[in-house]
Amino acid sequence: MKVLGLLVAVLFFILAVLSWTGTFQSALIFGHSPMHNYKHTILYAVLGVLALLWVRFQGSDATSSR
Amino acid sequence: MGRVTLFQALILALLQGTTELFPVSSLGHTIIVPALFHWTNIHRSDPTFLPFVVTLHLGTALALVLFYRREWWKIVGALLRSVIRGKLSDDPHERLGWLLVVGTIPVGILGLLLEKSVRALFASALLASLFLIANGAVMFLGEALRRRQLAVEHRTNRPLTRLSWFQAVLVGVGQSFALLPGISRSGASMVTGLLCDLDHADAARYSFMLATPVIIAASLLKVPDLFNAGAHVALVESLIGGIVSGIAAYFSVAFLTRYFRSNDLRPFGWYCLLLGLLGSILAWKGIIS
Repeated sequence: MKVLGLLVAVLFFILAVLSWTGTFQSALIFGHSPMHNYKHTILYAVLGVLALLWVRFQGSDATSSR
Repeated sequence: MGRVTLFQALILALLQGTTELFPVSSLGHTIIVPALFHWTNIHRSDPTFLPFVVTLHLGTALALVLFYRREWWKIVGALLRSVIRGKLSDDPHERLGWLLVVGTIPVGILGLLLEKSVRALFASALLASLFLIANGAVMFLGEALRRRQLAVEHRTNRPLTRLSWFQAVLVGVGQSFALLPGISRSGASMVTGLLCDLDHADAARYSFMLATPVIIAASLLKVPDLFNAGAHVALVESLIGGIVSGIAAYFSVAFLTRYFRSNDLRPFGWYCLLLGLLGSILAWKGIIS
């Protein structure tokens, strides 16, 4: 699961960079103006950070299962 | 098309501050009420209106942070400690913090990806009124289902910190329906929380705390738009609006947390049904648009 989490994190960070540089314009897919690029960049970056946090909690014996 | 007047700013700020937290849809009200008063100078796409809306939302968010300041302080500390440790503990504030993070993910994703498209599609007084009726119906349905869960299925209330991760996501998804004008953020998330076995007080608390990062993020993400060509700040109206909205939001959250200790959503359901019905008739007759 750690590897999967890392892969997901890397994927989101790549999407964030591509979105920031304008190479990947996901804003257009959702019918937004290119001005929305920065919002999508933030979204991908935040999802990347969350994936890293998930990795951080993996493999810990004390991880709650509630 | 002129900029918002001071009187309009005060009314809209009071409306935003209260309806953002009462389960009656702030977006629906800010579409229906200006249409009802024929405030034709107000248009959501007007360059002076955006800074005004941002300050109203920041005022509301600040009020929520102030109201739950002690809890947020403990939550942030507990979250940081758990990240450093790399382990989850039994600390209830840590648990609540992660439940808030998990619950914010759905509305974060859906809000950023779909907000503009959804609002462009549904921003009319008729649709906002119809969704307001739906909002009222959802509250009645939620209350009825919850009573059935307690009476027939013999389910018991669970404390907020015993909410599962999946249930936290469900409440977050429920909150995302507020992207539709007329559907209340707190109403939708409270109904989902009730169906996940929370009592009214905890469902309201989780709903308000879940709304805080969302409102702050939504406001901050609009800040760069203020620097676009054509954006003019109506400084006095925006500042006064932000303060009034914050004060109204603070008293609203104080009232609602007390109210939901012993009351339910049905009075707000009636209010939404009646206002939605009135708005629908007026929009259908062409009196508002």
